[in-house]
Amino acid sequence: MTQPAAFEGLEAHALACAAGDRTLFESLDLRVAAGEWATLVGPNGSGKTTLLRAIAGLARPLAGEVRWRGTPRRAGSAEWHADCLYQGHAAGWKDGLTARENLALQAALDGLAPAARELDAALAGVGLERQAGLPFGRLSAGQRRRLSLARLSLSRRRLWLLDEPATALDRAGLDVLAALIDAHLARDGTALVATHQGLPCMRPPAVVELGRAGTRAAS
Amino acid sequence: MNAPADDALGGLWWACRRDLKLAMRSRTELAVIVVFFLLVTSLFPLAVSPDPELLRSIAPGIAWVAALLASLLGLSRLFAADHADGTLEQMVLAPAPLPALVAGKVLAHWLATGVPLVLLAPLAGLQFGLAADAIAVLAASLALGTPILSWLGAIAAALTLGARGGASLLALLVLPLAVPVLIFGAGAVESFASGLGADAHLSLLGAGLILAWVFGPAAAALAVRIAHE
Repeated sequence: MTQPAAFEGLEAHALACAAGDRTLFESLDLRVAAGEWATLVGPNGSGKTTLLRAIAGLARPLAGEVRWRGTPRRAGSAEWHADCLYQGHAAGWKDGLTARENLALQAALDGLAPAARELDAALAGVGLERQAGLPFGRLSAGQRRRLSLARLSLSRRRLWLLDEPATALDRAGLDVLAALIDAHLARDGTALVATHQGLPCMRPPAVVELGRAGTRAAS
Repeated sequence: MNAPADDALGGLWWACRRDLKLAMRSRTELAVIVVFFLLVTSLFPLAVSPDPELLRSIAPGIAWVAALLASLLGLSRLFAADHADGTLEQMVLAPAPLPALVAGKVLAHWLATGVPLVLLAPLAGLQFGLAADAIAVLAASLALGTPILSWLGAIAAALTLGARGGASLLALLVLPLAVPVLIFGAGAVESFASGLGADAHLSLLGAGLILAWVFGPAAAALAVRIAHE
């Protein structure tokens, strides 16, 4: 199969990852175009987080290649870091800082300079307007997740790699997440989301299934 | 107010401001370091001898050993907390260069823990009856030497990330490496007191400080990256 020279999206070819001595998956092929998204499913321990980290450049795959917008992605390069947003289980929030302070700091680290108004709007958009001044440590599990959604709502990066973003979210929270993904796709964004929950998104995702021989998926 | 951290300087500034803000939220940790320093220096007259002549001659060494031990206290948390809550991952993936972010963290760590020790050194010196000019040399040697200790500690802290018993391992790694800093730091005051002048020792400490700032950021950033693979 030959690929078009400038495929606008995320590709992985013959990717293999291991945890310690155990091979989690090998010869994984994956292709998610701009404006499309894929969910990553599979039993616990099948390597969903490892795959996301390998794509982001946090973990080194045993073999294979990750391509982004037609060229091999270079982990550590400024262009890659300006395009890719990875959100793991631990999202980097500080217990001692308020929700708003946390969001402002993360946005600055992401290279953004949101105005106070934009921060408030992002917090209100995920239903945290009343919790903005509370220390993060005092938020409930679902509210903590919502703060991660607020970060997504500020982000204009092209590729989202989300690890279980739906955990602990209530139905309204899932709707917010789905709306964010829809808006991201409408901007020609790409998303790869590890999740076990069906998200009420308008565009159905391709499904990448891990934990089976000959793991393979295309969108 | 919140400048974007999209280049080296922005990254350094971002990390420094953030860590100082966090340090101000948990002031007990800072107080522990200061009190520890004062307690250790006060133990020597009790344990060794109250003879003023003897105390005056060992005072620089005491102040330096106490500063070294006190600087170890907060080190294990320098990266461990950010590692545990995922902040370090986001720093690795941030548009700002990782060495700049690490340098900001180390700068904040020194401002929060090293500077109080530099300011307290005169107090310790008075306690031991050091002359005013000797106290000034002691403070100068600490001002030049404690940032080197912060960098050595930061590299070791990054290397021991995720290792079991990282905190105790950290002390074993840092203490031998800190020996030259200790020798020139305490030596500066002694050589000043014996009339030889402290210039040579302080110059060497200054050279060490420059080396630490030149090679420290890349080394600590590399260690942080390794911890994530």
